[in-house]
Parts: sequence; structure tokens; C-alpha cells
Amino acid sequence: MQAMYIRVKRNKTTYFIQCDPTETILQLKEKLYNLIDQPVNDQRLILMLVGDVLEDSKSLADQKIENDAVVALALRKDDNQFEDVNIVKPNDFYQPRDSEGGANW
Amino acid sequence: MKKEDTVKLISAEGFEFIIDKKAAMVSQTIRNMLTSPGSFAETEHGEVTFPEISTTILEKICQYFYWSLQYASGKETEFHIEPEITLELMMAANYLHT
Amino acid sequence: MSCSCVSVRRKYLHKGLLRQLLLDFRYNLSVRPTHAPTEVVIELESQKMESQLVEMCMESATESRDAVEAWRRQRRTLESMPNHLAEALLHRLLGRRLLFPSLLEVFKYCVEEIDLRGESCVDAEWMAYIGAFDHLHSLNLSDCDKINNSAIWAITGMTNLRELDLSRCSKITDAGISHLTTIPILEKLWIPETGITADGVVLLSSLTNLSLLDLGGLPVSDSALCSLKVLGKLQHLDLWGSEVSNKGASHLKWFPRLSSLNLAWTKVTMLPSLPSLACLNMSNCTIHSIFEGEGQKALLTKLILSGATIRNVSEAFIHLETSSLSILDLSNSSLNSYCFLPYMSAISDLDLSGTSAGDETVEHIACVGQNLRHLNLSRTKLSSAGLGILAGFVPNLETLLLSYTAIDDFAISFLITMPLLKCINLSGTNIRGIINDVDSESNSASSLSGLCDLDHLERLDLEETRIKDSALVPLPSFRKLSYLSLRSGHLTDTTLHQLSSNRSLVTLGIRDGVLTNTGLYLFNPPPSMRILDLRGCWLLTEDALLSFQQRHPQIEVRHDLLSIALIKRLSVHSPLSQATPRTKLYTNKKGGPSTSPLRSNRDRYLDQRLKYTREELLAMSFGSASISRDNVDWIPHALATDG
Repeated sequence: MQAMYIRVKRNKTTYFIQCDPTETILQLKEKLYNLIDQPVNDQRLILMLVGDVLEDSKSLADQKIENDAVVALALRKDDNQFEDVNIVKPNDFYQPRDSEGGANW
Repeated sequence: MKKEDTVKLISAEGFEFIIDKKAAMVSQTIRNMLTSPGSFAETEHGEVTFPEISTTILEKICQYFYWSLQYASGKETEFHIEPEITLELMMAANYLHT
Repeated sequence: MSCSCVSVRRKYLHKGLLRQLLLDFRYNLSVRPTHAPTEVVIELESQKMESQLVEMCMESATESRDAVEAWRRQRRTLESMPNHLAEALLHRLLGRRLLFPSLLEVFKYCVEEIDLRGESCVDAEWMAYIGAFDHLHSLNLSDCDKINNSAIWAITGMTNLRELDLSRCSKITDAGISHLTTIPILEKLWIPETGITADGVVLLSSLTNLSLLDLGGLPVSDSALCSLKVLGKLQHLDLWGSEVSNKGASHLKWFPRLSSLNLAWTKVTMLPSLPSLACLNMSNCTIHSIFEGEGQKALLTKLILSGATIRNVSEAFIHLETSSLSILDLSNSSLNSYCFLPYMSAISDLDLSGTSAGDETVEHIACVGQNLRHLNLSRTKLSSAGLGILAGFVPNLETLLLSYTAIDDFAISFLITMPLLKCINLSGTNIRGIINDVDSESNSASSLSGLCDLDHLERLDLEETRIKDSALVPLPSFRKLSYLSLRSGHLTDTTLHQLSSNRSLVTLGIRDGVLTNTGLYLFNPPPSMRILDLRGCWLLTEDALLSFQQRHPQIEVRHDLLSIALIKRLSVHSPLSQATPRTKLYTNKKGGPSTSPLRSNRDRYLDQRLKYTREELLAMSFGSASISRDNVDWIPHALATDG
């Protein structure tokens, strides 16, 4: 059991990834590669709480990524540009109220 | 982390959660599905669909699985349950034996 | 808007506590009234322990009024919720004073059982909602003070109600029976100690599906009993304290399926042959004969004759088929002979406490000792030599209660011959824990070391004996001992420290010991310990006890000063405490110079709770949100955690 996990989200999919605060973003992308078969160069990760694009060389701790954090995944498109961040919110019964939206997903 | 070590849980609205098998096994129900091959067709593809569990609740359940593993290994954090979802979550937890 | 989140920390998830939380509302504890034979029946429903997340959700959902509002806004009813969850939720809300009549509406379609026992708030408004519960199968309203005839009008014609408990609802009278008779599917009905008369009982004859009928404490006459003959499905009938006489008892033949009958505290002296009967209670009756008559003999398995007077035993029991009897309670009864005992070859539980039984009786018991598992010989004329007669004849004995008999340390060598003993009570005996004479006390061996060989020993009571610290040296090596109760002015800190090395102790009582603050401070309790009873240890101060509690929050400490501290604490929150002047008496004492222990001894033994009525205690409990109403015993623990 590793010290923490983060939730990587894209469209309607969420990956729960176990990790350590000392890991780099590159290492995190390698883990994702195993799951989604997309090379690390084609991945872009954005910390949703602040909207920062995460840098490969920095560690999770450096970029203040905590346990249970939500990170958006964007993939490189055919035109070599990264797609826009798209996380579909569930349209089920209990939407978190606006006042607490950010922290709750 | 290998793909074979994960399992995909699919909510009523078709949202997908890919989690470690070890985490999913916190649920006795899922554990039974994964450890009795053949009896649950969907588990052979590493996927379990829960048509009765909404996305918000299923995600909360997954978060609970990880919290439970961390808790078992001695990390004393709190698990927050928003009052709005307590009853749905309770029913899902009851169904999943977790 | 509210966003209160529940936080669950490890200490709250302590397994025992959690289990207690879950079970406290599931125990269906029905206590027979105290002036009748007290028979406590604990029925543990076969519900499994809930999973952890379910428990956390339950906790969160019932945390506060705001939490309830939050989930209630999401759903109008709990229709899809499994019964057991809905019922657990309802009862948890009830226990936390968060349930009110209109909230009952959400449970309308998903609850089959409601237990409102002892809830003084339950009135006609509650009943109006409950009457609409389509699936309600079982309703317990026992001891609900406000329930009267008009309140139960709401349950008229309920289509699924099969069990109804109105025990001790004293405002229910014959007029209320007419509401009950609209529910012909009723199978179990409890109406003891209500305001119902013999006329009301006659009306019950229309409830022909009844299999259980509890009429305890009602003035049921012979003719009223006769009118119930039509209840052919009746299996359990409770008539304790009624006006039924031998004439009425002769009608009992008309209940072909009757298997359990309670005639305690009645004038019945002769019982006709009742072939279907398995359990009979005739406590406090004068018995001339049981089952006299023609036909098949009853295969009685349980016979309770506590406090009964049996002038001629051989005549009274001559028609009794004794070979099937497994439980026999003759405690405090008056009888002249025990010659029937050798015929009770299936006996497993025998209670002769408080009778004239002596060493010669033990010879009879030894004849049928093979299946005996529980034997109570407390307050009899038994001696150590008498116990010796049992040696080798009771290989399966698990419980042996010998308190307040004349046995001494020689008895211990006989106890060792009973290898399965789990529970031994030696309180108030001549046991001193040493074999030799007083003269050679310094180098005499502890007699208790013999008990070390009893591999199953879990509980040992040694209160009010002359045992000293040195005699208790062998106790730490008792591997399974989880309950030890000592009470003696000879015991000191030494005992406390000796016992810290016993790894299995859960409950330890050292009452009236001369334990000191320093001794308590140095005491390193075994990790298994949950209850430490130090009542009557008058040298201990409140500060020392509270400090111990803080260091060991998992242990519930019992002490007279803590009960006082509790009441002081509660009185801060509750305006009602002014109604209890005795609290002030104790408050004033605090901080004053230590008064003579002898002077206040008698007060110290009193459990503080005894001084209050249930209502006063409840009122005090409401005053403090942190305290569970259901379990006053926890209060010291609660104080320790927030103190």
C-alpha cells in the first residue's frame, strides 16, 4: 500500500492511481501509460484545484498534490495539439452544491 | 501498476472507475465476483457494471476502498461523508458488503 | 447550508463499542415485573454485524438535526431501502432524540419492526403515523407512558401487524381491546400490567390466530380464562399474578398446543395433565400436584418453581415425567426432600440456591451429574466435604455457583476435578486462599494455584472473602480468565500490580480495597481490560481516577466519586438538576477535607443512579449531547474523552 492515491480524470473515466509524494510526474505518466497505452509524451496532466499544468521533472509533493487530489488528463490530438480538458460531471441525483463544488469531486 | 491488476467499475450512468483490484476487494461482494471465475461473466473482462449505483456514490465507494486500505495500514485520516449522500451510500455499502 | 461531515477516528471504531452501538437497540430485552419471578429473556436477533461503511453512514446520517434535514431533502421516502437498514436508522434516530412524528413518514414503506419500548414521548401523534406503516409486522410499545386507548386507535385494522407489545401501558383499558380485535391476524400479544380487566380479556377470544398471549398481572378470572378456550393455536400463555385458581387451571386442557405456561404467583396448586407442555413456571405457588390425570405425560424440559412451597414432594411430582427435564429452578423454594433428583437424567441446569439443600442432597445430584452444565448451590448448607461428593461425577459442569456457603479452601481441590468449569462463584465463603493454619501463614502455599489447571476458567467471583494479596499470586497465570471480581478490605495495591500481567482480563473489580492513588498511577492495565470496578476504594481521589481514565480511555472506571462527578457535570447543562437536592450534598463535599471513610461508607456503596427516577436521569442525559441515553454506564468513558 502506497502512501496516497490520486484520481486522474478524462471524459467519463476516472483512474485511481496509487503513488508516493516523492514520485515525479513523469513516473506518474508511466503508470498511466500501462493503463491507457498512450506514450508519456502524449499525456498532459493538470491539477484541477489550481489549474496548473504539471511538469514532468517535479515531484508530486513539489506541486502540492495531496491524497485524493483530482488531476485532469489531456491527450495529444492528431494535429499534435493537446485536447482541451474535459471532465464530464455526473448528472445524477445529488449534485454537490455550488458552494462546495471544487472540493467535492 | 499493470492493467491486469486493476478492475473497471461502471456506474448507472456509464461512468468508469479504474481501481486496483486490491482496493476493490475491500468489498466482499466484488471480492466474491473476482475470485469465483466463470460465475460472473463480466468480471472476466475486469469490468463490473452497477446499474443501481449512481456515479457520485460509486466514486465515493472507490474513495472509501482506498481510505480503508490506508486506514488498515495505520494512517489515521478521516473519511468524510456528506449528509446529503449518506443514505444512498449506506445502501450501496450494504449491497457491496463493505 | 449545512456541510457537517462525520469524522471517524480509530478510537470510536473500537470493536466492542461499535458492537455495543449496533446491538443496544437490537436486544429485545423483556424483563418480567419485579414483584413476580424475575425472568430476563434476552433474544438476540440473528442480524449480522453491519459493515464498516454502513456503520459510518449510519453515524453520519444521525449525527445532527441538520444531517437529517440534508438527506431528507433528497428523498421523500426510503422506499427502496432494505428493511434492516431502515429499521437500524429509525432506532438510531430514536436513540439520539432526532426522531419526531412527521419524520416517521419517510419510513412508511420500508419498516417491518419498530421498537419504541420505554419512550415516554410516544403519543397519539406518533401512532397516527405508525398506523399508516403498510408493512409493519411487529410493534413494541411497552412502557410507553402516554399510550392510551385513543392512541392505539390508529393501529385499528392494520393488515400486517402480527406482534404487539403493550406491556405496562397502564392507560390501556378494556376499551382499548376493541381496537385490537380489528387485527385478526395478530399472533403475539403482550398486555401484562395494563388496565385491562377480566371483561377485556374475554374480548380477546376473537383473536383466534394468537399463539402467544401475555396476561401477566391482570385480574384474569377462571371464567375469563375459560372464554379463551377458542384460542386453539395458543402456545405460550402467561397468567402470573392472575386470579386463576385450580378451577381455571383445569380449563388449560383445552389448549392443545400449549407449550409454555406461566402461573407464578397464583392460587393454583394442582395442574391437570397438559401433554404438549414443555416449559412451566409456577414460582411462588403452593404446589400439591403437577399433571395429575390420565393420558400422555408431558415431556417437560423446563420447570421453574422458584420460591414455591412444596409440602409433599413425592406427591407433587409423582405424575411428572422427570427424564426429559433439562432446566430445573427451585431457588428459594421450600421443600422437604430432594429424592426426585436422581430421576432427572437429562438435567443440565439446576438451581437449588437458597434452599435447604445440604451435603446429602449433593449425593442425589452426583447421580445425574453427567449432563449437568450449570449448578447453583449458593446460600445452601453445602460444605467442602459435600462438594467432594461431586468430584468426578460432573465432567461437563461449566458454571458452579457456591457463594455464601460454608465451603473453605479444601473445596478447591474438588473444583479441579471439574475440567470444563468456566465460571465459579466463591463470594462470601470461608475461602482464604491459603491451605495452612494461621500460624504458618508466611510460608503457606496459595490454594488458588490449583485453579490454574482449569483451562477454561473465564469468570471468578471472590467477593467478601478473607483473601489477601499473597493468596492471589497464582491468578496472572490463569490463561482465559476475563472476569475477576474481588471485594475485600484486605486487598492493596499489590493485587492490582500482580494482575497487570494477566493478559486476558477484560473486567476487574477490586471493590472496597485499600488501593492508593500512587498504586493506581503505577498500574499498567492489560490491553484487554475494558472495565475496572473500584467502587468503595475510599483512598482514591477524583483527580487520580480521572487521570487514570485519561491515560486509558478504553477502560470504563467505576467508582463512587466518578458517579458524583458525572452528576455535577450534567447539572451544569440541565436546569432540571435543581429538582435533585441530593446532588448538592455531594457537590458540597467535594474539595473538603477527607472525611472519615467509615462515616460515609454507606453512601459510597450507593450507585448514584439509584437516587433518581428514570425521567430525571433521562432529562439529565438530554442536557448533554455527548452522552448516549441508552447506556448510562458509558458516561464515565465519555467524560474521559472530552475532559
